[in-house]
Amino acid sequence: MPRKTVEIEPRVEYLSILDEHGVVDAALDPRLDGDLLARMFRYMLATRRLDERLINLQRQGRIGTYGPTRGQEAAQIGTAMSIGPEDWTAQAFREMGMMLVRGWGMHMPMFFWGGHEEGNVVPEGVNDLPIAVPVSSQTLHGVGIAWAMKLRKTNNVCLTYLGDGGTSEGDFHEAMNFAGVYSLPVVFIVQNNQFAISHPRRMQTRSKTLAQKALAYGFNGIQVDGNDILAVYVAAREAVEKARSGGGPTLIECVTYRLSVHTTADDPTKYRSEEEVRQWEKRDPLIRFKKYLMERNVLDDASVAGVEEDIRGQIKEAVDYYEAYEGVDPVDPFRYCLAEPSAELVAQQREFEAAMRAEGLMR
Amino acid sequence: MASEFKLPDLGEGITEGQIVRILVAEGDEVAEDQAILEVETDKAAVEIPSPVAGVASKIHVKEGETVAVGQTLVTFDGDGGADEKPAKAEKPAKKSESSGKSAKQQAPQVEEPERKRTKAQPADDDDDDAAAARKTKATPEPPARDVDESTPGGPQRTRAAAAPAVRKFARENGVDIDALTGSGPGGRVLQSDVEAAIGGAPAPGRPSAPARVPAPPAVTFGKLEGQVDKDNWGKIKRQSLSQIRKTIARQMVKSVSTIPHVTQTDDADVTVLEELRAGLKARGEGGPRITSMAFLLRTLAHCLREHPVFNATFDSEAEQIVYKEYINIGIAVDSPRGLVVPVMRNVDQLSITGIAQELGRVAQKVRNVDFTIDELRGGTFTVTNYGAIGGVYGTPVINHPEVAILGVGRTQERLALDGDRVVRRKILPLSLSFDHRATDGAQAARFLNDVVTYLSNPALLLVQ
Repeated sequence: MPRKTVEIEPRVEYLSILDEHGVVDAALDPRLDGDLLARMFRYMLATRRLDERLINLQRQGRIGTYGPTRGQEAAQIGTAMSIGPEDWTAQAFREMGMMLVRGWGMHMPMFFWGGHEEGNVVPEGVNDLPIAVPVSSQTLHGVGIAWAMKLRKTNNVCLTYLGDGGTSEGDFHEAMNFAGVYSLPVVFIVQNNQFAISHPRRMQTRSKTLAQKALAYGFNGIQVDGNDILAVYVAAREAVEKARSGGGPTLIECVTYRLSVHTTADDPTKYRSEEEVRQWEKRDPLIRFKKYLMERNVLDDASVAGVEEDIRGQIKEAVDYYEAYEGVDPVDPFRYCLAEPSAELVAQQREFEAAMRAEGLMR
Repeated sequence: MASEFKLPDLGEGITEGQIVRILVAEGDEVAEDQAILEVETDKAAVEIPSPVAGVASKIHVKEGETVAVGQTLVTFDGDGGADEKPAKAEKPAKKSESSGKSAKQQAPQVEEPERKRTKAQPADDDDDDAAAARKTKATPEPPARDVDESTPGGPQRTRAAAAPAVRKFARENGVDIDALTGSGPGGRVLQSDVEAAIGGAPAPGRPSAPARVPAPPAVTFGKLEGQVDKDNWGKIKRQSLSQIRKTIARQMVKSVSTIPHVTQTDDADVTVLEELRAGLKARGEGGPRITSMAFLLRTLAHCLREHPVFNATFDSEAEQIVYKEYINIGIAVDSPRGLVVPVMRNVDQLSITGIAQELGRVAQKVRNVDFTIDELRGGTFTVTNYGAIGGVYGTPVINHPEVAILGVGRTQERLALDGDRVVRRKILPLSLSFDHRATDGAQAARFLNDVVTYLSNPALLLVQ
């Protein structure tokens, strides 16, 4: 009969450790090992440079449509480095930074975005799911993997990546509910890059944060400065440790910004102001982290130049490798349809070959 | 080794693009990934980076030209182009372990391509097989069974290409479609070919078919741009619209077809203002040139505050007038690319000197075509100063969805009466177009009166 407030337990925290000016909160600074920090930086820079190169390759007609990662390096690398090779990930399609950490080669995005499915074949020994373009479908797969981990009583965890737009999908809510109900060892990494293609975050949901979506499913959500790799890493470590020790799922909302286009077929000037982009460019995850590393004497100008040089060489090797690949035989689909090709199929194959020859695409 | 760079599909399913700018000259040494062209497609304007390092020996396109995907843009002399792949797949060499570097540099590298093998990347130990596998596989022999023997129709018969509906039409009219020569694309048999074979007569024993619309005449595609052609009265020349021209055309049609325009005109006596300006000029160099435009914008900023309906947009869908609490005045400018309207923000917060400075900056940007789309957005009212070139009154077209636009003519010396004396005065002709849905002539007259009063008595601006 009474009307009273129902208290719900979880709370949404916000975490920022290294601000956009490179100023670190001394009390919150995890004081990570220099070697780990240098690796983080290396992956971030590699992701940035590879991303730039991939856009150029698209503009030169050497790969197809490409979805850039610029600006989201901290969110991806900070989370990917919080787990081990025995753990799993279920990604969407803008997680190149995470993929590099997990062991995918630099040539693989070229193959994938160049139209060769070989670029989406998970390398041997890497516990990742392939790139998933259908929005949020991977969250269900990630939860399924976590459920299997629980049934098998391993102490592994699964990270599943999605964006702000993904939180509007039914799949996401089903995945969240399952994760909560079964208290599964899964961490939802929501990279809130402010846009679902052209649809801004504020039009995506009335919720104040995306992190609070977790509350409805009975677990914790935390919002972090997604451009601060220290905050991302600390939050991810906590969530992973909790999941590993049977504490159930967590949602981490990494507040970041997609500095580049949605894909190379997109023109963001039609839906966002350049002033807004300029504001976010100042919060670039690489700028502040580099400053922090310089101040901690983990890096100096010479070592940064050395890393740049290494990365340039590796990207060049990857491009050369990709371009030397002659691709699959376009006639292959005819070979694997039927064990015994039908007359109709043979006729079609001949017709196809004739057309390819006429176009000069086949000898 | 020369290589040709062709226009790639810059978006998904783009077929053509317009060359906006060419950033290199013939003979220039170009670095790999250096921007060489700016191309605008239906989707976006993008800079195209060079696929190679070398000399741009020939540029095949001109600025403003529309080019098809696959058309050659630039020929390079140099290391080899995007089209020239190494003849054999070279396996990236195993990178030597980074030695002699400081501890900081020895952080693990991002995985090198060869460390993670995929099907795209065979193992090291079967080099030859791998190279062979990467080469396009030989087409296998098709199975021995021959399609011609197993399908009815006998050998040597080719099945005509035709749409199912045309086949049905031929069958119904007793025409052997495979015996026809098609006139459609790729030899496709069209209904008109079947009709020709029938000879116009309906098949016997069938009710006469309903009258058919005659086949349309062959589609005439747009005449080639720049090609001299003629019509019935003499020579003509066709010119395709540039991207910006298309945008202007669309905007103008939208404005004129949705907004009921009314234009009112009035004259401002700017004799005193011009004297004031002459005095400022005499004061010497240093500051920005204070143009009458600066005074006019200052006046407008004040008058728009007093008459907010003119500092607004009309939302026809919601049936609302959207009053803007900020005053951002768009200034229509004739740029090298055509009409653009850069927006000067918060004009009411700027002094006359500040406005003059801002005007100089905007003019510079427009001249250099160095403005962003963002700088053309967010206007609340527009001024078009065609008088800078010439003309007296006009009927300016409102910058949709704003409510009004002010056209400014050329200042003229006219004779006027001062009591019984004929005097020489400087007159600034003004033309105000407004959206009659948002407001009425009386309001417009009051607004224009105020503008004229301030311009005629610039001292009033000092007491604002």
